[in-house]
Amino acid sequence: MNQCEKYRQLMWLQLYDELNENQKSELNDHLQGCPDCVLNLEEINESKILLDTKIQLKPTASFLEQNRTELHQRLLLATQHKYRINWKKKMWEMLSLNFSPALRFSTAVAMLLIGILFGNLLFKAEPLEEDLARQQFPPLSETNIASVESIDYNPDTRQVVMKLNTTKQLTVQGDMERPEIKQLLARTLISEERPNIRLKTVSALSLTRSYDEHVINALVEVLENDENPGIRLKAIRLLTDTPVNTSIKTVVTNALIHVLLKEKNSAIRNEAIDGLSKLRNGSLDPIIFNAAKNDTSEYVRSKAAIMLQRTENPDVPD
Amino acid sequence: MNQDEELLIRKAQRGNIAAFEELVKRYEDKVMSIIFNMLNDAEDARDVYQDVFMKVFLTIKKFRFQSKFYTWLFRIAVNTSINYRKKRTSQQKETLENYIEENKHDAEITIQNNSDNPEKHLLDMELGKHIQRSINLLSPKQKAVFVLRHYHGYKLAEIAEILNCAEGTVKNYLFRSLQKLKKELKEFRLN
Repeated sequence: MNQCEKYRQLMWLQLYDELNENQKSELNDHLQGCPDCVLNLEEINESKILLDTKIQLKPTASFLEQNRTELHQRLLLATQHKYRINWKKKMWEMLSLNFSPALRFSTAVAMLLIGILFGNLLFKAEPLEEDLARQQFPPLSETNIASVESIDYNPDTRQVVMKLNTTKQLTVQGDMERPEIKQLLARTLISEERPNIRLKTVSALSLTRSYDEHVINALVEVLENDENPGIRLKAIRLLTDTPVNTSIKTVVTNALIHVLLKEKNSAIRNEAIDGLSKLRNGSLDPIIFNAAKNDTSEYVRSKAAIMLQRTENPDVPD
Repeated sequence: MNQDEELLIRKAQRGNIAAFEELVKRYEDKVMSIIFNMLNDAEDARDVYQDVFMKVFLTIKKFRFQSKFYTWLFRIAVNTSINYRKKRTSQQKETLENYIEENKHDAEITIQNNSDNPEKHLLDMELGKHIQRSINLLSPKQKAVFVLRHYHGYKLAEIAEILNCAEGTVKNYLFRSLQKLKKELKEFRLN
């Protein structure tokens, strides 16, 4: 901006009363020495007078009233809309967790805890082995055991694991000496249809140190009625290896006599001879004698004869 | 800003329509005049009036009391008028007669410096028409500054606040607009 242009601006500003005293004084000083600017000032003054011929538009009261009424309607609509939007916005803020960091953290913790709680309720984990060992056995009379899914045992740990199909599948695990386990094995031995399960059950029972009434009865039942000779053989070996107390002696003796008289398999009858010889009961001699004379198997006959000789002369070695 | 006005603004910020309408009543006259002078058309002014006050209502929460309320309000009015005018440049009124005829029901139209002399009246009408055309030739910002200073009498400092720019910039806009108008009015000057 050259000097004169600067003063032309000041001339206009002076007409609009926008100059301070210093600027006014400066302008006056310049005008005294600049005829061009004086001429320009006249033009500016004249133009200002022309510009003051203003066509002024001032809104009428009725026009303002109309506009205000229309505005009122729009404000009401906007307010409703605004609240709708605010509601949506608040929902969105809730969903996007648009909270303060502290609130966000506590919400996350709360949601985690709720998740864990529901997870535990809905998806209960399989109990651990230790828990299973401690698991209370359901009373068998109340448990409708449909079948035995599988059976497994570990001679080292002396643990038996049985998967039972009841109303829902049930897995039990426990020490072989537990009465409940023995009872369950005895029940399986009698009622299970699959021979492999029965065979495994007898094998599992062979690891127990003592038998209760349930097991003895089951073994006798198997010995007399099981169709599988392998299972019968295992059962008789269990019975003959078991230390027999007086309460079960009669049951075992009767079972062995039954085998000697009725069993078709000579190996099993042979085991019966061994079993009876351990009982060392003189009243059995006629039966042994009969076997020594009439058994179809030569091996059984000779074994029965040896047994009779030992009865008569206990010094004869086994 | 007095306490009464601050209270009204705070209520309006909470969505109180009655409080907002009280603010509208206080400022609508000035806002409408600015819009009229920026657009020179009552129908356009009606649209812009609605737009301005709706914008103010929807954004009043953002007003932080760091400036005067009227400068914030007038800024919205000027900017809305400028934007509206950009869209409607092809529909400027051609003659002052049309202009007066179309707006006479909605606005009181006064011609200052008018005299009882019929010849002088005709001359003034012609001059007014010419001034109006010349003003429409200014850039939007120049026009806004000229209208606010010349027709509404706001000081340059206030205009700077309204337009949210430096006072020096406003001075330049005013100077450029006056120089343009001076040039346009050359034929009406005696000398």
